[in-house]
Amino acid sequence: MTPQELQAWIAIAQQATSIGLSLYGTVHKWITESHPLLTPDQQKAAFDAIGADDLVRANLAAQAAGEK
Amino acid sequence: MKRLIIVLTIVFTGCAGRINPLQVSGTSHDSLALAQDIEAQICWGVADAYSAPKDSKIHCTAPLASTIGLTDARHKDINTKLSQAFLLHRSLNSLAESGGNVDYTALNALIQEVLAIVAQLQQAPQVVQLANAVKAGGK
Repeated sequence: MTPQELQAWIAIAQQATSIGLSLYGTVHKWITESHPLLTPDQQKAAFDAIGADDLVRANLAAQAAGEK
Repeated sequence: MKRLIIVLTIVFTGCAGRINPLQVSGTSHDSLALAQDIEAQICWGVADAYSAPKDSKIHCTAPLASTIGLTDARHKDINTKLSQAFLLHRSLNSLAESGGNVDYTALNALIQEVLAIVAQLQQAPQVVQLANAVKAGGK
């Protein structure tokens, strides 16, 4: 391998690393936002809060519909 | 470079199949809740469904309601469907919490029924917001 060829390979490797780091950052951000790091207890509390508000809002809607 | 693309493809594909159930349930709930609040704003001129008048909830009193054609009958129909949607969502939320396979078909069908009622209203920015919120409640 000539020095010129070596230089060319280094340039390609640097470019690939740069693209790789950039893509890694994007993927990491996407995963972090899509999968918040909640503990099992926090997840359960969040699900419970949603379910509780579902019930309250179902009752409010039923009242508005004259069913209760 | 080829290897990098293959690895990233695997990562993307793997993650796409693992959408967070909590996030799905939360987004669906918030959209339905927003739809209910917008309907309350149109009907009674209040901030949200929690601030509904204590008496005569079955009558719409805000001038906007009559302007856009939100009659008491449509208000009743929308809220009947919303009540069913929230109860169904509660069941789906429990299923998601336990790690079960959640089927949103029935909820989507209810949402289409609400949209059909909303489509009968006169065009207004609030009606567009209401339709968008209802649509976002599905999956």
